[in-house]
Amino acid sequence: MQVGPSAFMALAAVLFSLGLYGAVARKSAVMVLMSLELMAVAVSLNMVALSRFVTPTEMTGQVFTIFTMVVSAAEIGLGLALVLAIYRQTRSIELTRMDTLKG
Amino acid sequence: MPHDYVVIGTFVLVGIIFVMITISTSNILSHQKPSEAKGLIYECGVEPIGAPWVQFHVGYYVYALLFVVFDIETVFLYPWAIVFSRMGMIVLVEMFIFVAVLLLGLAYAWKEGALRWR
Amino acid sequence: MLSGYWIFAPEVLIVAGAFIALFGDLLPGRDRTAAYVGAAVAALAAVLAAAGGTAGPMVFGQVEPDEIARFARTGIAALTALWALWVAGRGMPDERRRDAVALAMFAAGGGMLLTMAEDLIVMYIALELSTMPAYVLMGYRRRDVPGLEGALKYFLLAMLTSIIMLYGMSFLYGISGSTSFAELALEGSGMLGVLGVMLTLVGLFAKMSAAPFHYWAPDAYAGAPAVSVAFVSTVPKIAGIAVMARLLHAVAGDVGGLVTIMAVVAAASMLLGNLAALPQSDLRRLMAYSGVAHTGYLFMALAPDTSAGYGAAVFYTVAYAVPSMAIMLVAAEEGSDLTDLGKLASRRPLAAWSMVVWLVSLIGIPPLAGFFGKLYLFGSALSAGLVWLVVLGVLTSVVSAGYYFRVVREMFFGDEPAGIAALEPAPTASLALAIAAIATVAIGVGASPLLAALGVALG
Repeated sequence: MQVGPSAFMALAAVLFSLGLYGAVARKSAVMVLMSLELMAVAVSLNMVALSRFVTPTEMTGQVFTIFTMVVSAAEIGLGLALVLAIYRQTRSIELTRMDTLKG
Repeated sequence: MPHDYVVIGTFVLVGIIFVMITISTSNILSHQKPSEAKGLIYECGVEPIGAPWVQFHVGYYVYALLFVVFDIETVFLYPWAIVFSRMGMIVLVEMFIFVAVLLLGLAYAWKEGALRWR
Repeated sequence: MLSGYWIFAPEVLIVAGAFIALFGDLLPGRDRTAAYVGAAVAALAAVLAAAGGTAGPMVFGQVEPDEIARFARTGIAALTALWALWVAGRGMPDERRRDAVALAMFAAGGGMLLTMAEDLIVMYIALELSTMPAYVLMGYRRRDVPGLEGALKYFLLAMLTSIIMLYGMSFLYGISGSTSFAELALEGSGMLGVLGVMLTLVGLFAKMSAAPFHYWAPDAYAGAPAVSVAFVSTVPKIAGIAVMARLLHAVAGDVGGLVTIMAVVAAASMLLGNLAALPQSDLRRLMAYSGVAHTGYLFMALAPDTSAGYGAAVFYTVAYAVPSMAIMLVAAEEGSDLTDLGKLASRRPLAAWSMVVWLVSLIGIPPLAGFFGKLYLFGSALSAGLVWLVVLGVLTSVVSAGYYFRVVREMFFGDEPAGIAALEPAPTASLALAIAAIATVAIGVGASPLLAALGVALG
């Protein structure tokens, strides 16, 4: 059986949904960041697969993926720095406890 | 296009069902009989010493962050190396600009004392 | 007129200025000099962007410096210069002036690139470049827990929505086989195309704090220093509206129903923003909700996919950004609680009257910038037959007068806050505020030539 683009897209959709679930449901900021990373990976997979099937001679999607990988690495670094700064002050990374701004 | 609805609907459904199945299987299959030995932290089979939440030195974290940032930037060098021979001098200049910007970033980290072990 | 690659001189200048500011502690005079250099470079970039003219698609069709981009780039650079000038005079809390100016300039550079983006990859990179410094600007004070929490919330939501946007972009690319806006061919792609466009728009909606995705803004702004809010809540919005005009123009022909979606989001933003702003007592929260409402007004003009509408929207972002930034800067001087402004009119009559000018412009009373901006916004929505939306816009503008005048009343008839120290005179900061006040009037008076230049774009 030939594996078509829809198989990859389905896998990407599953990964994306898992990540989205984690990003919304998790309470620990680090777990949320990991879930976000999972979503980013799903998007990368989607792009690489589409690049392979839609434009096999051009690398547009793969180049896009390289850019998104770099940007998400930088973002995660920034996010962890924020989490670390909060942890140093409050000794907690639970998102549910961050309620100083309710109102 | 009803066909497209089916495709998207399937994606969404499979996504939801997969999560539900994996979470419920692990709940169904696992035995919930915690004992003290089971609850211990796994440290290569040796009995754990001290508390598991050891605070790592912050210095490691800063270094790791710097490493990851510069490590991931090298990813751009690979596609560049492939097209370099076809594109000529202008691409070489562009890459020098890119590396120069990275070096400025490193210089900033140095200036701010991120490279000093504290 | 600048030709060839010289047309990107403003962006190169801004980024170079950002690096100079980053190493500002090596300059004589340290941080203050860095801020002055930043202001001067940004002002020069604004002049170059305005004088640089326009061009067709460039760099393999990835960017197009057209009329809309020219106006938005000039606005972004000029506002950044204004902000840096104020920072040079007053400084940031905790004295990280040089880093703050550098971050703001990086964000401005990204924003200016974003206004020209004609390609999904460029758009994504530029969007990230314009938002990432914003997280740091909001959460750079290491011991300030509310600020850090606000920044983290902003960061998590922004990252989540930008990944969702990326997912949508991957579908757009998969359908049309190209990332270029000009080659996006979504015709006949059915649901998948609509899904791609919707997911892509979600990212932009969140960045512009449009109604269903606005809830990060009040929290994030209320935790951050008012100086940072002054920049983060205004400058990226100009770039966001410009790129949204481009993207909508590229896809509106192929994907039906976008008018309805934009109109509904606009209506929800106007209603929610204006009603939620009414009871606020913190200026940062109040301006956050006012920002949501203004996004609604802007979307009203983007909805019908006409070049006049896009021009009006980009014009109004600048007309909104100038007074909005200036109000937050005054809040940074006086304190951001409404009662901190008590009797401002007797303490600093000039500042108080400038505040009146800005607030009145935000309500949309002639002859100020906001009035003409809203006039054109409503006009372009009317000509597309969105009468109900315009009626809602006018009604909510009347409601908005309620909370803006509450600020005015506090300044003129409120009680003087107890135990305030007299503000040190800072001539450059006052100069920045004066420029903002004059600009608010000047943009209003010069509205028709400015709009005439814009209205022909994106035809």
